[in-house]
Amino acid sequence: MLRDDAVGVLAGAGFGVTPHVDFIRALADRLKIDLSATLTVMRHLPLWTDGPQHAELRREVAAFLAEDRSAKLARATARIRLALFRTLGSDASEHVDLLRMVCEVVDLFMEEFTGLPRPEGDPSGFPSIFSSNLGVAERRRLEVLLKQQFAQANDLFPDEPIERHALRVGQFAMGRDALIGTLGLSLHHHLGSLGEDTLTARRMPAVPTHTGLPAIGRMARVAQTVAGCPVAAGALIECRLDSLAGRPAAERRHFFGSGPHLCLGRPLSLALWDCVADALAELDVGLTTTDFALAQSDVFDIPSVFKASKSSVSQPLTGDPT
Amino acid sequence: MNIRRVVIAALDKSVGLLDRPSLAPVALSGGDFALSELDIDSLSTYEIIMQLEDELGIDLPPAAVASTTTLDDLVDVVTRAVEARP
Ligand code: HEM
Repeated sequence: MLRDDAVGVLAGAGFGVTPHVDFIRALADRLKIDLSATLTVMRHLPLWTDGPQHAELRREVAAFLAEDRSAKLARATARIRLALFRTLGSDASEHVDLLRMVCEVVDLFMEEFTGLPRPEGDPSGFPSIFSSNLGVAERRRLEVLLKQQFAQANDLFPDEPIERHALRVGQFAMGRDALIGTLGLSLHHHLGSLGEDTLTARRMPAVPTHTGLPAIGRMARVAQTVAGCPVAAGALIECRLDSLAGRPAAERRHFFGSGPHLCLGRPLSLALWDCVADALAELDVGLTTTDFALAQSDVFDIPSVFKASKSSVSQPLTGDPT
Repeated sequence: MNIRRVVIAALDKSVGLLDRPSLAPVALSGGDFALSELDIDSLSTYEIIMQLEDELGIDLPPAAVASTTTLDDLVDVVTRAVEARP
């Protein structure tokens, strides 16, 4: 389903979420493998539930993300500005690794909001908890990574119950890949649209222009017709949110979904966009992409390479707002 | 290593391939047959994947396995995964 039909499916009552958690539980039982950390995180994400249990979880996550929001945002903004100016503000003409910069920006942001440190390594190489296309070896690797994150959460917040650690780990997973993909793709297109102009010529649009979360799956509750196509009860369909790229900003806001599962990280993500767009617009440098590649999984589109050449500036910039 | 033999052993362990009088001789004599004849459900697919991954030290994405329709297809997919092994 594309555009209006995709948004309509997400907003309407005719489709429900996919039974992913039940499947993973059945898998762990059948194969007799330990997926306890994976299942604990899944049970604390509102994505795969509907009805009253979903409403309850959604409230919990919303409250978690709202805690100390202004102070966290202010800290994240200051750190992100410094990171951007450190990478782009020098007076040298050089090659810059924009994937590293995007990951650093997102990780600083997620660190503030989840309290968890950034993981090592290339994000496009990480098995995702949202993927339906992980074999057993990859599921075991994901389990090990999640257990490491639980151990970190326990070291950092020893007085908290495991439910709270699960919220931290779950929100880290929810936000990180979607942000890296969406920021990487949107920045890539912004640089393309600037051509020879420097970053000061035009601010990056305040709403992402492209998304790293190209599609959302849904399951039909009853037999129905969508966009002229018959859909049987229980059939799985794909809502292509990436079909909104190139549409006006009001429509692109649906990159964050629609209806009962509308993204809870949307205000935070838009605040991150403002912070990045403001900082970039202060940098009188030219950036030309020299190398870009996308790693596409069944869930995320994430750049695996994003490099650019930077033209020199007359005066080094520090990013310090004082 | 005979990958075909490893695939047949995995299919036998999870869905009893060699207990099927109509399919066992075909499989053992190098013939091909449709995997739909084995009634593999989604959890058995993972059992097969786990066995092949453990035995061969490979990664097998379920979508690659689900896209196969015959024994030969599956052997091809597994062979490619073995060749891609770092
Ligand atoms: C630009 C980056 C992001 C994009 C494009 C995005 C997109 C989405 C979409 C499309 C959904 C709906 C999924 C569905 O209907 O099944 C969603 C849900 C959600 N997102 Fe985001 N997201 C982003 C960033 C974040 C961040 C940073 C966080 C948290 C810190 C977050 C937390 C959530 C949560 C908790 C839900 C589940 C809501 C529910 O099921 O009720 N997202 N997101």
